[in-house]
Amino acid sequence: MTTINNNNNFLVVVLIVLISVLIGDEGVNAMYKDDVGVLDFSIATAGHGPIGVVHTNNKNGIVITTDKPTTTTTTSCFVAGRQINDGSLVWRRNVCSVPDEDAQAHAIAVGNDDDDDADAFYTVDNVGIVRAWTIENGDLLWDTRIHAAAAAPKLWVTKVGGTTTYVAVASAEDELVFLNAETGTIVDKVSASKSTGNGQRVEWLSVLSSSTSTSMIKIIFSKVQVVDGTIQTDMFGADGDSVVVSSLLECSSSSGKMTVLLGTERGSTTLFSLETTGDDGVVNVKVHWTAEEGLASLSSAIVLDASHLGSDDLVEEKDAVSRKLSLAGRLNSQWEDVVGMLSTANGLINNNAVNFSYRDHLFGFVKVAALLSPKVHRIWGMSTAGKDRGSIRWSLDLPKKAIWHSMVHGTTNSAKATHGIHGDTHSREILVLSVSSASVDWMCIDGTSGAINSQDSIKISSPVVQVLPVYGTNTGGCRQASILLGEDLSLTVVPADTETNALIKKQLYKTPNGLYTHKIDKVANKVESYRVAHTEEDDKFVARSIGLTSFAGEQIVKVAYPLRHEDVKSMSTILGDNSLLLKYINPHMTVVVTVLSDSEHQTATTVATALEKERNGKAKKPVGAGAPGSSIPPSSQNGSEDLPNMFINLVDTVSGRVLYRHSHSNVDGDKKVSVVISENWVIYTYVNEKTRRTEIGVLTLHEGMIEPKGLTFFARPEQSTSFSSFDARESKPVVLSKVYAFPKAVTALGVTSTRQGISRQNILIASSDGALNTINKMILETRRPVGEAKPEEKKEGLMPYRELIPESPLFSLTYNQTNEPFTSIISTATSLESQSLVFGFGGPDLFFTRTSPTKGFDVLPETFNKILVGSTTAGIVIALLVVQRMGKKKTLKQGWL
Amino acid sequence: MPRKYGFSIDLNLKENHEGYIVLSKCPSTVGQSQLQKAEHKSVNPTGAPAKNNVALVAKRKQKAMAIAMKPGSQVAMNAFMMYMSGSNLNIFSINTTSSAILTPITSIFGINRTFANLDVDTNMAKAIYVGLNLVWLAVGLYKMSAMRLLPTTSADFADSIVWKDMMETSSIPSIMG
Repeated sequence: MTTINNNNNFLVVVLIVLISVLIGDEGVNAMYKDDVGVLDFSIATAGHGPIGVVHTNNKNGIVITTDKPTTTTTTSCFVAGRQINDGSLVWRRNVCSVPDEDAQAHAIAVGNDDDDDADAFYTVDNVGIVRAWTIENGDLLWDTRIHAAAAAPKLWVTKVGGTTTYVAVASAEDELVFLNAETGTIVDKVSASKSTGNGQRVEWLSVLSSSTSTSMIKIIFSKVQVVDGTIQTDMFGADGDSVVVSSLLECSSSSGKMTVLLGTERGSTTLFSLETTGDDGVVNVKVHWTAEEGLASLSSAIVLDASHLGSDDLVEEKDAVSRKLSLAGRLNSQWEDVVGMLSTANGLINNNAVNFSYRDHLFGFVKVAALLSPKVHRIWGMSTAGKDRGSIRWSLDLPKKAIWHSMVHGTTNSAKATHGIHGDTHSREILVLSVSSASVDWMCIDGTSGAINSQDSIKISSPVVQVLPVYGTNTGGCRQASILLGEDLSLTVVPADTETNALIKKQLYKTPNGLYTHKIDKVANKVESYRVAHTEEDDKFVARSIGLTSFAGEQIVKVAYPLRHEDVKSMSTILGDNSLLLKYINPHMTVVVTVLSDSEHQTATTVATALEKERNGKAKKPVGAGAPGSSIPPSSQNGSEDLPNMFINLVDTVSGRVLYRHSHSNVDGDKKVSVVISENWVIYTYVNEKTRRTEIGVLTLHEGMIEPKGLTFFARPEQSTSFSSFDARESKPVVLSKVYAFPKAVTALGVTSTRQGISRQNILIASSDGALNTINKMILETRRPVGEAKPEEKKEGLMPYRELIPESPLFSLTYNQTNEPFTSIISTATSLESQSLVFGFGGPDLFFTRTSPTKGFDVLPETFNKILVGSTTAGIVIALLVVQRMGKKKTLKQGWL
Repeated sequence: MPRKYGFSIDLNLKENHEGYIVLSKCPSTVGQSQLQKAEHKSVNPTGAPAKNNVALVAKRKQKAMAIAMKPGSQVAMNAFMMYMSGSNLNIFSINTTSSAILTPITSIFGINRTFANLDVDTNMAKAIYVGLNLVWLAVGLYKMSAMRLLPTTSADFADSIVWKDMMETSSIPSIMG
């Protein structure tokens, strides 16, 4: 009797647990699978920017779009296919063979004369590669090279004899090359009558099937006399968005329905339908989908906090956040989460709360990314959290007459460099500058809502060469202000109101030695620093030259600045033997990467001469022998080719001095160099043309070192309490360096950012395969020992030096997504120390995700199964009560026996 | 003529009587100490201790010294345990180290209670007791130091590295594109 009762109890418990599991969320299938799409989103654009050419293919339900072919401006070689129904991107192909955007052009032709029934489309680029692709999924069918394509590539598809389809491609030699559309083999060439010279050439206009004979085709061409001159490209005088392409996809007189695809100059692609209903002739307009193609050409992005509980500059709001992050606040958050979950499940409690995540707001996950595309003169605000993440919140059109635009958000460095540079601001206001030759149009916008708080236009006397962000006033035009440095060294304050002027005057005396700016001249290859001063006579700000560094014989290829928003927790690194390595934090430092202008200058540089002397003075090592990790490769027998040709210059922008100069040999100067500065680290990538691989150079800057017993209760080393760029002795760093090899080409570098800089920072690397990788900083440490690691080094976590950084799928934040390479990466902090937000952009694809460099030690994962845990707990409690009751009954029964 | 019936009551308090210890701790009444000295002299006018009394004192002193030397043996045992527990933080090493720190401290603070029952001069014993406890404490502190639980190196004072005042101000430029 007792055994049966025990079995029953056990079965009840098992049943409850099973029910709990069944009603819970889906279980975890894989290590990362359940995280896919939870913390991240990606947006795929067509890649070509505003639509220039549209072909509709109703057979596959796909609309093919590409850029307008032109010989005068830069064109994109992306051809994309979108679903007509919902606008989703089906495929995207780069049809050019030349990677340089400035030197590429292409043309596209679809199917036969009738696009609707075609299965393939054909492209030709300016190198002369003709390719055939399937419309359904963009697969390559064949490719053929003709002798040379015309400067402005052109091709046509025509049918001869009613059966055979040919592709006609205009050649550079006044020929029309015919290829079999099925196989890509060259069938025939047609030449026009010889041009007469003197700049005259043949312009092929069209290739058509003959209407009179099925075995004939019609070719239309003309002879064009080329004359010197320029073509007016700015056809749009007004600042509105004008329709560039309009394509009628469907028109049915019987149903009275018309579907139209519009492509605008600023890159908005919209598919809408017009339908007449009833007899009254009322036309209903329905927008099916809209895509922003301008997102493919972003130059900069700023991520702003948009949470309702977020902090602004106000101290009261910061206190409010501290209260919310307390235990009571967190418990409240959990309760709100449960309420939200239940309302999502059955809609019983509060349907309005479904799209509002209290937790996201509390933890500072709700951000809005302000995105700027100078190509289409537009700025967007994109949601990055919640159910509408990846959607456009707002957009603003910028003046088309502007030469360049800039989003200004930040301020001057902190006078006391406590925990970093602190040149950031929590203000949600962004100052958007649109600079033309004679004026600057500025807008002060709320970056989270897109509301324009104020705007104006200011005349300028010379082109602007530098934008200096400074803090604005609450009472003036904008809480974000800036000082513009002109080429003639004039300084213009934006907004130009008296309050902002007065505030900037105050900032001049924020530190004893005043406010400084600089100019980087990439033509003359020099860096010049200036002091900002104010003249009482005419109440103007003036720039006074302080220092100059010239890189004569070299070309500046890259300039990088420290991260203004980065928090530094400690001024020192603790080593394994308990000694301290002091960090060198200089908010005025910039990294200027230069390459030799030409090989003739190699022997002229000081470094090259010094290296040559060194080489002559010392015994040569055997070929291939070199110090492991050394950035200078082993010298070859032919010494001249190993002379340094790329230089990493650490320049102080206040004094205009070079703080440190590091050189590399055999660098491919044509390939992109990426640089990121994080705390006292400088990380850069380049391509070594000799080893034919991508290398990552790392420099760590230090002020010095304190021995294990150098700083105790009884010993205090002498420390300088101030930092001046003009102090020749103390302003220079001690530099450690190391070089690593990376298995993929690098397109951008970044670093994760956390709230207080306590969590470890990870280095973000965008690679040519479209992946966004996150790498532990310890892997790139400059102090990794060559040979076996000592116990102290092991204690610190230092691994023995290995040149190659291994590639691992675990490093990839984009997991198995296929993206075009990102050219920029930014990171921003949340209210939680462990969480960092990462945004990759600059190519046709955008990717946003949340990452935890040191794991989520202060937050439950998104995939934490609250329903399962809750129901299991409830089940156990119920089971306990049931068993208790059963036990009492049993005891009572036994008592009566 | 003596009375046939009578009572004899001894009002002197003996050691085995209840409340002897409590009463002995009470402050003496005025003049009692002089009275006791006089009584003591009348019983033993030469000042030499009685044979039994001497033995008792010697026994008590011996007991005091035994108590004083007790931490010595514990130090050796505890030191061996600490050596065996290693320098990593684990439940065993934490236990032995914390006992090595807390036991001598509590012993030193409770020294009067430990030697309270011995009605002899225990100053020497107390000194030895304190000394040995201090040795024990030193061993414990050494162990803590070996486990990196004491602020003895520069790494423990990393926060005292000064954040410098900037003499100049600059601003990181915005991207122009």
